[in-house]
This record gives sequence, structure tokens and C-alpha cells, in this order.
Amino acid sequence: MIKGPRKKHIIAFFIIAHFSLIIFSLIDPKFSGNQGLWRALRFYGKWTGATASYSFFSPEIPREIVFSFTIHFADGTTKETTLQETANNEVNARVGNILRLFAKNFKKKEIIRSLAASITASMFEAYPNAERIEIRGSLHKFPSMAAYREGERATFLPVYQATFRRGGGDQSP
Amino acid sequence: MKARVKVLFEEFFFRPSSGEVLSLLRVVVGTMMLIKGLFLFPHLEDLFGQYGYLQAHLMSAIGGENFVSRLAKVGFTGQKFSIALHAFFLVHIFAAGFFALGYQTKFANFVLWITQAAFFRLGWESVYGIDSYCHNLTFFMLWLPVGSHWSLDSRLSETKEVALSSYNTLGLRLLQIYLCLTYVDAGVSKAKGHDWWSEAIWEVLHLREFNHFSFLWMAWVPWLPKIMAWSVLFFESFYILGVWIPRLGKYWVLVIISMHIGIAVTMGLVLFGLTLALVNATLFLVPIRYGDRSAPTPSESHI
Repeated sequence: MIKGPRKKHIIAFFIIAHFSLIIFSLIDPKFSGNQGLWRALRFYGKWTGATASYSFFSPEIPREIVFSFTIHFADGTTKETTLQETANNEVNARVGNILRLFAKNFKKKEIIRSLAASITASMFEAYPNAERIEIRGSLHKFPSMAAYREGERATFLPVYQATFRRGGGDQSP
Repeated sequence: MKARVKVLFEEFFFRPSSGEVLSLLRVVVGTMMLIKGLFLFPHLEDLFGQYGYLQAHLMSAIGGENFVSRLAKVGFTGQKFSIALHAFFLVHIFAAGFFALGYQTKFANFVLWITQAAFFRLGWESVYGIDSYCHNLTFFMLWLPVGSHWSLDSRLSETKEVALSSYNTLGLRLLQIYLCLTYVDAGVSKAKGHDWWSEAIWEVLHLREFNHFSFLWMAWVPWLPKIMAWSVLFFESFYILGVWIPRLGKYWVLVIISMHIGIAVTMGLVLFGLTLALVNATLFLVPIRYGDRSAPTPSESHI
């Protein structure tokens, strides 16, 4: 049994406060107040998880940008690959999160260029013999059920292409 | 009437129980976090490293300063950072193993929670749903007696008798309510958009990232994905009510568990789907099956 009225009250206070924070952050996920109290609550929420969101695939299904890479080696050979090729499902779910950053920002050229450079840099790490790497991003457009029945098929709309050289920068179009 | 409500409230939250469910949840969460850690370990640099898929300066430019960029600023970079990252993650993995086994349970729980929380600070884009659940559950369990059964601690303890306690029931109820709230959020946020009222299931299953089987045949049975999407909206949004309905509650839980197994099989999110299925089964189905020894069952609670 939980003994002592004071202990009970303290426990009750923390439970109510914690759950209020969970509920409040579900109602207002941006949690956007800027004063000291809000900042303290945000800090508490981040460390305890109370301000986490569970709105997966919502309110709409996210746009998907598919990336592929052509690795050019010094001896003239090439290799086609993707970020997900060598990873397990658990890692791929996280890589998917990173790639969705492209989808969210695909009209902001500077962000896209920085994201592409960052990801390509990690490919240079993975392939130390690579001389240059070509990265291509395409928006995956999948037809509706009705359109599919009428013969329309998935298309890939190119949204980004660049070639990065080791230690050299890119040749974005 | 007031007295009756008080009795029901006391019964629901404080009827003494054995705490076996809480211990089982510890085994489930600890084991799944251990597996998660082992899957991620070979890819730490890519996901959380300063020169991973998203480099430190870019992460801070998009999402504000984080641990990685702060460490980079004070010169903690390169090999030093890499060794620290791997050592940190090894601590996390060992904590998950100790927690699952129930060895030094409270300390392992604390380390597991704090390291899980730190991963959000290391790379917010490299975490997803399962991390949020693990983070919250380990925080809740920190305050609960989760090591009283099926643990090395209890085996090594000289006191073998575990007393019934209302604290166990309160803990179980809080975990159940937390889980229900996450489904309300999941359901209501989907309902706010357009996709989940029409072709969301068709669209999700054909995202290349999650497309492991062909579901093109659904185009000729368009009512099926629509009913599936509406069912997701309904069963998630009203889980917090449905689960307590006498006799019906366990079937509601089974629908949610089926949804998670479906996610695991069709979308390849095996660890996420399996963890959530097991957590739901532990928190709701086990008390129904062993209601007399653990907490009052949802259908017995008259709420």
C-alpha cells in the first residue's frame, strides 16, 4: 500500500502533471510558448518523452523521394547503389526519416544541396576508392487506385541531380 | 453515487496486485531494446556520427543545436567522438540486457532511459516511433517495481515473498492509460487529413520504402483498403474507450495487435510492429488471462 497522505499527494501531483503534459503536447504538438515555464516544460518533456508525438503517417501520407547513386572508381568501373542497400530494416526505417527531409524541403534548393552533399560525403566514406559520385533524387508518384485500373503506372519525376568529386565540390545542374 | 464512484476509482487504481505484469513488461521492453541496439550498432556512425548521413553542422542548421554539434564545437571530433559514441551505445546495450534479466534492475532502468533520451539529442532524424515508446516506457518503469518477478535481483534476494501492492496496480493503470493516449493521438491526427478517409492504405503499401509485397490487386477491390483505413481510424481513436468495455475489450486489443503484426509483415517494420504487439498483449491481455493474480481486468473494472 502507498502509505502516508503526504507521499500520496506528492505522487498524485506528479502523475497529474506528467499526464497533463502528455495530453497538452498531443493537442498542441508545437508546444510553442517561449517563456521560462514553457522552456522548462519542453526540457522536461524532451528528457522524459512526455512531449513525444505519435502521429505516424499523418495527417497525410508523406511524399517519397527516391535516391540512387552511381559510384565512379578511379579504375573506370562504376557501381549503382542506394543508401538502404546494405542496411537492415531497423536502419532503413531511420534512413527513411532522413530521406523524408528531402521530400519536406524539395523546393528549397540550398537545403537540398546541403542534404545531398552530406549524404554523398557519407558515401565517399563508405567507398574510399570512389573518385566521384553521382546522386539522383526522384519524386515517386504513385497513381490512385482508379488511375491504376485505367493503366496509369508509377512515375519517377527527377527533382535533383549532381555529381560530387572527392575533395572537389559538386556539379549541380 | 459519490461513494460508489469512489469505490470504483479505488478498485480500478489501487486494488492490490502482484506486479507480474510490470515485470513481464520489463522483460519485453528490455529484450526489444537489446535487439534494437544490436541492429543499430554497426550503423552508428551513419545514423548518429558527426560525418554520418546528416553531418553535425547540417543537423544543427535544420533542427537547432544538438549534442553532436556542441561536442564538435569544443573539439570533440573524429576518432575521439567515434570511440565515445560506440562506448556510449555499448553502455545502452548492456543496460538493456541487464534490464531484461532484472539484474541491478533500477540502475539498469535509469541508464537505459537516460541513454535512450540522449539518442534523441544525438540525432532527432535518426529516431522513430519505437524510440518514443521505449523512451516513455523506460521513464514510467523507473518509478515502478518492475524487478519483483522473473529477475536475477529477486532470485538473489533473501526475501522471496512478494507482497501484493496497490502500487503495482496504479503503475499498470498509468502504463495502460499512456498507451491508450498514444493511440488517440495516432488515430485523431490521421483523421484530420484527407488520405486516411480515402486511399491511405494503398498509398502506404506502395511507398517504395515499405513495399515488400505486391498489393496492386487492391486496385480491383478498392473498398478493402478503404475499410482498412477507416478501421485504423476507428480502432486507434477509440482504443481508450473500447479496451474497457466488458467482454469486447480483449477483442479490441486483438485488433490493435493484428494491426501491428500487419505492419511488421507487410511494411517490414518488424521490430516496431512486434514491440507494440507485445506491449499491448502484456498490458492488456495478460491481466485478462491472469486477472486473479495481477490487476483487475479491463472488463472487470466497470469503467
